[in-house]
Amino acid sequence: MKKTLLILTVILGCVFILFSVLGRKGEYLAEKKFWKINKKFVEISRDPKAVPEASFEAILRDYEKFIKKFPHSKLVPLAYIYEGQVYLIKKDYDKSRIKFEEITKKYADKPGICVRAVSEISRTYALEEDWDNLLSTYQRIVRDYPLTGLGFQTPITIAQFYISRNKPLQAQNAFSEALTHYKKLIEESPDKPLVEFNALRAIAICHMAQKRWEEAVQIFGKVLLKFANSPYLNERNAVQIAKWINTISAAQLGNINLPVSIYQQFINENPNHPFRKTLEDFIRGFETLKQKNESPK
Amino acid sequence: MATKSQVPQGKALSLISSSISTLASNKIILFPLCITVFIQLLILEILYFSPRWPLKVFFDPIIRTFWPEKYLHYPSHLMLLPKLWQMVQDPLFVLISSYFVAVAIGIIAMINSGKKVRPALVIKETLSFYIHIVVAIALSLLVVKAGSWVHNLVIQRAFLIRSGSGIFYWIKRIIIDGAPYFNLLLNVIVSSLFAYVLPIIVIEKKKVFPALLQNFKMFFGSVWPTFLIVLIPSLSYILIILLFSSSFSLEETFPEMRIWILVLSVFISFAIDAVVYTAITIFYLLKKEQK
Repeated sequence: MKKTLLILTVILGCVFILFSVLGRKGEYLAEKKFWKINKKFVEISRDPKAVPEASFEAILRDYEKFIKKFPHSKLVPLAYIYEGQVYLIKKDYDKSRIKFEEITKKYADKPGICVRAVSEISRTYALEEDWDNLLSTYQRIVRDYPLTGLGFQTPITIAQFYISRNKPLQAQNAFSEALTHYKKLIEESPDKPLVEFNALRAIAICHMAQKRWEEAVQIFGKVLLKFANSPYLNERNAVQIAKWINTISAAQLGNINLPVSIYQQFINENPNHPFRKTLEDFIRGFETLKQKNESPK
Repeated sequence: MATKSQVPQGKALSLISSSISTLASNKIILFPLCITVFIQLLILEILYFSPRWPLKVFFDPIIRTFWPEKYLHYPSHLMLLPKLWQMVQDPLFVLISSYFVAVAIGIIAMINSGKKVRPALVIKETLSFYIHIVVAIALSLLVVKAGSWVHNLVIQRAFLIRSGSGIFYWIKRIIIDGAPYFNLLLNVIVSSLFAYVLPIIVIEKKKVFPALLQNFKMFFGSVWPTFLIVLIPSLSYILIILLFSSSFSLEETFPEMRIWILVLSVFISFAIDAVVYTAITIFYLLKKEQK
């Protein structure tokens, strides 16, 4: 019995060693190491003022070691970004910007990574309250990385920046520029439905900000109808769009027929759509509201 | 091995202590249960390494089908591990663990009869009753599942209680916070209800349905001793429940905590099974001798 138990224990040990050795090939070990360094990073970013200089240096060394140990890992670009962020929370903004600029050069062919680095540069200017450079960095994002997630968002961020600085005129101009920008993107990318999907939603948001409510609802309706069978219109996006349509129609336009007609058209065109039940619920809700409004008090 | 004169009949604690001393003096009883532990740890190792090459080739599509992408990566994968483990547990319990528990019962019976213990012979003899063992254990598992289903309905209802104080609030808290403990109690009750099935199949060499009938007769003839024999050792599983409930704060800094709790649960279950089934078999043999 003892011999058998010993053999079974050895088998377990060997299987563990075998899979540990074979597992070095994938990303898992890199993920584990990266998570552990990031834990330390989160710790120091909670209260950077109380953190001794040596701790910052240690984390920077950890990221460097990580990059050397896992040079082909998908997490390496993120390690560079976190390195820049260590300088950022240290308030060494110049060094931080140098790091982020290096990333844009190193990963020039990967706009998703570059835009994140440039966005971090804008953060350094925001923390320094250097508004001119902040705006020029925003414009750089719009110009150089227009089709990334942040690239889509930034024209609206510029307008919101003016609103936060209490400059309504510039904000309205920024929204107009954003509208022109998004329309241009749609024209320039006729074969990229994702671009049109994102741009249309952004256009609707600009209309909302300009209080052009009816146009906003029409655009949201267009997104629902045009992308009904597209993978981009997932349940989360669809519910968000429908909620906007409902809120604007009921609260701003006082026109509950408008969403009902959009949803009815959607159901007629897509009778088997999974979103049908939600839209029918919305229609019923509006009909109940209508009856309440019409009934004598 | 305990005899009729050594164990006051119907005393659960005496039976449990007798079971422990029997195990200590006849370690061979633990041998089949050790094989179960080996299989469980091997499966746990495979699940632990499932997001890494080469196992990820097989596991990636499965995990992607049922869970979000993040569960393929560290540390979320370790959060998924208990769920994966739970999914493996039921078939493992029905198809493998039950058989080795039956082998352990066969060894106890052989020791009791004064014959020389030959594990290979017991393994072979028990194999001829494999189908009956599997069906009996599957039925007991079905009862557990039915109980869990009802328990889940109660929990869902409790979540609907909106009271922030008073009796209904406390009912809600007891149902929700006490869920893992109630689950343990449910398992203990069902294990007690089916406690004698395996000894009857292995020792009496009866088929599953006559064995079930005889089991219920025996159980209802000594409800409390049977229940206590199963309950008292099973209380040690509370340690695992407590560790799991407190692991949420620890896993922030040490996500591997979960795998270690699972390993510990394998060993605790092993100890519980060894003590419970030895005590139940001794009790069964004593009652048989009495007749």
